[in-house]
Amino acid sequence: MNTKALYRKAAYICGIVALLLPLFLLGQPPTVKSTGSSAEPSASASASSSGGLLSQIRDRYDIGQASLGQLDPASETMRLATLGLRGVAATILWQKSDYYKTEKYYDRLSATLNQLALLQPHFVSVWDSQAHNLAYNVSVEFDDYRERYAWVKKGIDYLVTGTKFNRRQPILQWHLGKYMTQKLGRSDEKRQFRELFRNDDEYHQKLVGYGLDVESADARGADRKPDNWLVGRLWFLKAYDLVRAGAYCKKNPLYFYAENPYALMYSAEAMEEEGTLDDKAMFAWSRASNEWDAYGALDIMTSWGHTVQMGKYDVALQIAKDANAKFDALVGDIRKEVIANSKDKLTEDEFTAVNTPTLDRTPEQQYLVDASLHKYMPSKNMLIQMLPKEKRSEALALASDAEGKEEYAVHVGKYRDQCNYDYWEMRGRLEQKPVTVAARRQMYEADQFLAKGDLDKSIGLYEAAWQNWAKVFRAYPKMMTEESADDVLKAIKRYGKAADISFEDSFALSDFLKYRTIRDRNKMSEVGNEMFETMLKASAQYIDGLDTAYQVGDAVPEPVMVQRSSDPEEQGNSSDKPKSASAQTSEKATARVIAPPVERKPAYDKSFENVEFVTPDSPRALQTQSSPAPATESVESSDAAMTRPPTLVVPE
Amino acid sequence: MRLEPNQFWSLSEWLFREGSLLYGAALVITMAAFGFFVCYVVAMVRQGPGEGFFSIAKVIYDLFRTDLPKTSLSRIWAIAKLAFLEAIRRKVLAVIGIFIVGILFAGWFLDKSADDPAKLYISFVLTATNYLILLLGLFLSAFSIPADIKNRTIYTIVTKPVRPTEIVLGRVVGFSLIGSVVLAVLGLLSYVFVVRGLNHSHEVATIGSDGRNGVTDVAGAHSHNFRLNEDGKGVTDESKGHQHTVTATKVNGETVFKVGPPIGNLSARVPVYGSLTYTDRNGIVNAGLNVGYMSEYRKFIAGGSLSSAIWNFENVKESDFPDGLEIEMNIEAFRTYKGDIVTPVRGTLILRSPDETVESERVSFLVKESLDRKVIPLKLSGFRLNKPEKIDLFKDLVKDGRVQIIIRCEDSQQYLGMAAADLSLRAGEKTFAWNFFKGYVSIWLQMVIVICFGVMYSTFLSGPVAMVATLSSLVLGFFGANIDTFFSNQYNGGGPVEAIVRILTQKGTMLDLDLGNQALERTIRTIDYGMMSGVSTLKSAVPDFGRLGTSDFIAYGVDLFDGLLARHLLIALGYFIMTTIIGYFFLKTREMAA
Repeated sequence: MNTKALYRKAAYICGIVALLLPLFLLGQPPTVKSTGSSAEPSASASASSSGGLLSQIRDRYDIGQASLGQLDPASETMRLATLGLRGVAATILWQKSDYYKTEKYYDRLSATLNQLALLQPHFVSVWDSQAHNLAYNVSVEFDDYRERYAWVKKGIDYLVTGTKFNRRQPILQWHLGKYMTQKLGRSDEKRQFRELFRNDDEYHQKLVGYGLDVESADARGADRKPDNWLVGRLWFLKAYDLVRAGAYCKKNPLYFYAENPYALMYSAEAMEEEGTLDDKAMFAWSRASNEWDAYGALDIMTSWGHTVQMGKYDVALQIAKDANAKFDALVGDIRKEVIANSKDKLTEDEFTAVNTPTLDRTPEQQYLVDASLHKYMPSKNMLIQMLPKEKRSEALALASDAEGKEEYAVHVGKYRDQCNYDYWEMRGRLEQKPVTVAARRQMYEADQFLAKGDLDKSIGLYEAAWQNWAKVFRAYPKMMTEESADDVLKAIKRYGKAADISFEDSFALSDFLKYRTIRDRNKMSEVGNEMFETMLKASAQYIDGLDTAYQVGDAVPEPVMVQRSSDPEEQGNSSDKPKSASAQTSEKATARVIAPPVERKPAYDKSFENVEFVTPDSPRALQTQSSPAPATESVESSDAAMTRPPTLVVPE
Repeated sequence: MRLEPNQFWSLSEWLFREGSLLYGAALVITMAAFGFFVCYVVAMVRQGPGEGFFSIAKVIYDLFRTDLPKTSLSRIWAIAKLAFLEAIRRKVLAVIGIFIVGILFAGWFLDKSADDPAKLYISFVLTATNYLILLLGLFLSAFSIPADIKNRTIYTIVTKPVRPTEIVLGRVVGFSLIGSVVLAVLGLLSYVFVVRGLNHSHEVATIGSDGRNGVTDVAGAHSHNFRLNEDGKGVTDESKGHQHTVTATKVNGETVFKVGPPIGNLSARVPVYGSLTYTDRNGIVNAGLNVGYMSEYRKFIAGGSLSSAIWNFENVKESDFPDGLEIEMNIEAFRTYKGDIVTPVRGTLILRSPDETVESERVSFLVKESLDRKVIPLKLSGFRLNKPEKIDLFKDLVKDGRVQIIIRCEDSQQYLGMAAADLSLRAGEKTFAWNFFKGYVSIWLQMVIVICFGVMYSTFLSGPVAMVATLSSLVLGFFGANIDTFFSNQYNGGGPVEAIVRILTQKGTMLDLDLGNQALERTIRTIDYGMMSGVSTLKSAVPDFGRLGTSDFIAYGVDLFDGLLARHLLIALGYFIMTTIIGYFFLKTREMAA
């Protein structure tokens, strides 16, 4: 009986040892530090020195506790104390935190979140979402903006702790940058937040402790105090450094890298909004613009598997154009012949539609034009088939090359659209010009005088600002549709009330007002688009004029009106003027045939179609008693509108 | 701090007005009848209907005829002493060591930079003590009698002239005694930990050119601003829930500043609470508005209208307010538009006599969303029947100890939110140490209940099973309130069976179960309903530990109401009697079986 029991015990021990062996092989810790790099374990490191399989995998993927980030005794204690029930404990804490948030026990929420994060210190989403919870969701629950600011800081502090536990997670640093820039700099209470931040010496010291050099010139704003946009930018730069050091970040690089120049741009913008409108502002914009150019020169990985450089869009277009030219040279006159012979392939309706200028086409006609494109516009493949056999392979190679390059240019364009590249590039260049800074300063000072009740000075400054804004809009018409232009519109309204005047064509910004009136009613307005295209074509000649600003007391320059290709006055000698884009399009479309003369109303007739004419009882009318406008006006009376320019109003 | 109106009730109100005495009596009768029925069924199965009834009747007769009247205090005390010594031998004092280790490391988890660190510190020590003591009571009580039975040492007791009542009571008293000793030590340690942890000192960091305005240095993640009066004395502003005194004295021609210890972080305010009603824009009583928050605790009133929050106070005594009526309020603002970000939403406070004939002048205030104090002077301007005149607070406004306080929101389209406990009258202050002690009495009561349950279960279950049963009672007592959400249809995801099915089918709680078989779904729901009903019934038999907890009072510096503590004492006494009787019957039955 005893022998039997002994055998049984021996069998148990053998079984235990047999089970321990694989455990040992799997879980053996490294006895000697691996000599290879973390990403590529050294071949020379023996199995015994690099530990068991689990240890090797940890080493290979850099996910060992010590590699992930700081080892915190409190966190380790908590994890051990849960005796393997970490998941259960975490779930209970999540529920508790949710309850505390719902019932507004915010102090307890904050304490629970600390415990929660210590239980799962390497779970990045916990840090990320709960920091957001504190900085965004909890902070807004307080009525006092100082309390809100304190909770934004709590969210930031929480996330900073997260970065210590996860030192190879650039997304955390990136989010820190976002909180510090966007939350403090773009909230409704941004003015108060920024003011609190720049005077929060205690917090600045804390940030220094976090490893941010908030004392450096890079982080200081116009008043030499730390600026939230510039301090936040330091977090972005930390995130970029981590990525450069090989850390992985799943954020789209287009947005990941855009934040650095954005922070500089918004910093410059905030600086101007707060009244710094001098060389400092120009310098800030020039710095931001340079950073935007550097962003444009970055190789951004796309979802198509290749990289793009957004700053080299023009180059990409030119390369595509050159490649197409090579193909066209090989094809010779075959294309023209095909187009000439394709007339018979079009139905009568299609033919009429194709020969109708783009702007005058009905939607049905536009559909016909698109649908019949292949009938009169031969594809590259069609043309290759018509070439002699010996030229076909060369043509095929050229066509493929051209299409690839066209596609690349399209990809660059799409990425530029996503980050509004054109706008920021233009804004960066424009805002550092003396004219823009002067325009903003005059408008700012005019507002200040208006608030004080000094109407004369205010009106004088406004009028100087309009001259400068007119220059800006002429040189960069795209600015007319942006946020800055909205501010100008509001300022014009204030000016109109202060000066008690109506706006007529002689007003420096009359073109701007007309355009905005049309566009704000209907963004797709063809008339508005044509007006914009015309201004855009003429814009290049005005760019040089941005270096000298108009000052109060300077002689008022002659008003420059938009030159419209279809103005009735210009119908006779329109060949001397630059043609509108639509005119060019229609010219292209009708190149192959002698298009029948299409009766077309001059575009200028329609240009005031959507302008709101002033009526005596119109609430938005800004006019003097001496210049009453007709009660009603309509498109039909366009001739009258031509001879007597309408009174303009500021669109809402 | 959250307080439900039922917590304001005095003991007599709770017993008589709210019918708790009647409910308790009904419960005793029902349980006695139910217990008799179950015991009779068991005895009937074992011994037949006549014999069974006789044996049950005999046990009851014995209880009232001999065991209860002849229960000897000295024997109870002797057994209690044994239980006490047994507990010491089982090394229960190690709990104190665990607690010391706990508070040594507590500093790692407690955030000194929190808005009010006192709340966190006090909550921590009370919660930690509570859980430790309950677990201690659980382990002590559940294993003792079963261990005696297993080791047969019980025979050395039962062969002596000791009654089952004495065994049960002796154990309960003995374990409660050792628990009390441990609790007293933990309480003392906690008090020292809290007082020392929150104590800090400041130096004056900067002083203005006038020598009167200054700022202290940063200690404990905060600093204070202060202003001295002409005598060189002043009080700092409130930060992290406390203030300091600052004095300036001339020493050898130089001004020396001295900042005193923190004041106000460890307090025990004595509040007088009132009942709250709301009115709509036209002044007609309604239930208050919900502005879209999930929490129903606070209701809101609309701004720029007659919408009001009206508190009715009773027992307002002139002797409690010799310097005027000190009002403490914590009102929440809700904006429908941002408006002026810098200026808080404005409110108005009015005092009105209960017969609504006299009211005070309006007192405007800016909503702070934290504790805000207003003192209404004894003589003030007001209106009698809408005619302005000087009025006296206690002669004109407070009638028979009753007065109304009305809050309105001044800003149109903005809202103010409040619950009954958000406005109170401050009738003096008691010492923090006394309040802390009362908090520990509350924990002690919970411990005694757990010990009673543990001893009761151990009279008929083996040690581990008795422990699991007591633990289940404890869990049910703490979290049982969640079961109500199941029956109120606010709970997504169903009961236990449905939850398992959802896990297996990977269906979130917000999705329909949709198994494609309605009969199956109905069956699952029926089983769940049955199970949850069973648990709900059990829940109603165990104490609601969540409600017995009073740590919020201590943490938020509010004097724990004597009425509430007395109520908890009565509840604990009720459970003590119930578990002792049940334990007696089971032990007696065992004896009979033996």
